[in-house]
Amino acid sequence: MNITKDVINAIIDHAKREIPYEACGCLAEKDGIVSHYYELTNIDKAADHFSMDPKEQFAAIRDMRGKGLKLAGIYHSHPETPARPSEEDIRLAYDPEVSYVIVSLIEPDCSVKSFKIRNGVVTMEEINIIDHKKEPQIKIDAVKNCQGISCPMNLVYTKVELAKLRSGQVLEVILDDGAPAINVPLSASKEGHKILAKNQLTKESWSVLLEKA
Amino acid sequence: MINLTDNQLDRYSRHILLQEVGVEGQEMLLGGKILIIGAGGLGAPAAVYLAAAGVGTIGIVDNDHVEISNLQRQITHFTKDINAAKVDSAAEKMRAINPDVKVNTYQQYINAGNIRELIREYDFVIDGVDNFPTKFLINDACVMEGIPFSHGGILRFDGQTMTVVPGKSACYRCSFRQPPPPNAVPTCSQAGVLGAVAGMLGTIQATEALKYLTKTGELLTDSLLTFDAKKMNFRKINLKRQDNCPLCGGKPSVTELIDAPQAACGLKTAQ
Ligand SMILES: [Zn+2]
Repeated sequence: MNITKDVINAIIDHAKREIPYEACGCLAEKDGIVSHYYELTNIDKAADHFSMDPKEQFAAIRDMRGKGLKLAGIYHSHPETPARPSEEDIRLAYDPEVSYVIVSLIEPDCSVKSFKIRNGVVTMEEINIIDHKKEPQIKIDAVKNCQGISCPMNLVYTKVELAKLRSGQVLEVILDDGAPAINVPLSASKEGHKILAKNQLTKESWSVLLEKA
Repeated sequence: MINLTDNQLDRYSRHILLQEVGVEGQEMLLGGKILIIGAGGLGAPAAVYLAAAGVGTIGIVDNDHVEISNLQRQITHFTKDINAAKVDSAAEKMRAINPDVKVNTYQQYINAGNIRELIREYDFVIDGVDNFPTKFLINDACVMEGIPFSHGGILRFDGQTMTVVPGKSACYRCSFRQPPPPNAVPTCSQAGVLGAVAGMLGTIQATEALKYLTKTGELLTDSLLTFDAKKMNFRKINLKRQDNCPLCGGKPSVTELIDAPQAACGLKTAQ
């Protein structure tokens, strides 16, 4: 599951606010990335189970439709137990398509895990956290995807794209995690270009915004 | 303006990575035109590096055919090329290194009658000839046509080179007024030359040409670089443009090209 860092932070925050009770809500996606969440009321007000307020649930679904979003998952918190589905979670999981996301608050870094539950069988799925914190005021003039291109050709392609721009224009380069994400922006900045932002998109990729010198 | 293919980006990546060259510099190279006079000890390494660098058009002038004694230092010519025209042998290697390059071959002697027209087509000239009269001819023609060039000479273990930008920097005649009398100075065919010394000097000349085309760094103007490979001493002597230079001074006496008499073995232009 691809999910933005903002949503992850928000549901952890929601879970903390509901302590000692379980928090619950819906997650919505667009283009394969979970980018919206809906905090719902746990009408059970319990520390070990939850029921979503049906009225709020319908309102959330309606809001998603209006925004062109799709229900991607149901999240809830475990204030005192690890992030894995309880017997009751498994029993009540009615939709094999949606992800069941659990926020556990017993670990210091609040572990978030996601599961698919089909006919009582639980499968954990990988969570890809996308940090898309591009400053909204930055206008991007060109994008170059250098994923899968190793050093130094990723820098060559970056320089080619920068050469096409005028001074002050902004290039977004998508780079592999590791040496490319470190070295390409460094080399570009040594040539006088300005690094405006650097954000990890997925575990494997970074977005770097370069302003041409 | 950016129209390099992916293949070219790979080929020239080490140039493009240089801040001073970059994509723009590589395009200047691809658009550049360099004439190499002499496909010998200096011209051969220069030709190889300039072709590899992607200089778009390279002209090469030489009337000679490859002899076995050339192979010790004239690295564009292989054993199989003995008796072939040197310009053809050099062109074959340049095209093999880099099919991007357009090679113009001129199998002819360079003389007062043909040099100006020939160099006019080019941005920069490399003097790779082995005799003084032709070196002065190249200097005079380039100054008259306003075309920058790299002078180069080697003998035994020694090399010397300077770059001339006509109208801006000292020309060869500013310091060396006129050719020495015939047979006063040994040519390398009489004196011998360590083969790799030709490579040292020819690649310096190629470097100057690449710097000129990409407008990078400072050219070897107003100075004469000499080296003694035996001790590996390099020395740079400052030169100044001379107002009394017979060619580029205030009252020039050299106003037209003449073919000076040459030493018998100096008829061969290639080093
Ligand atoms: Zn002069």
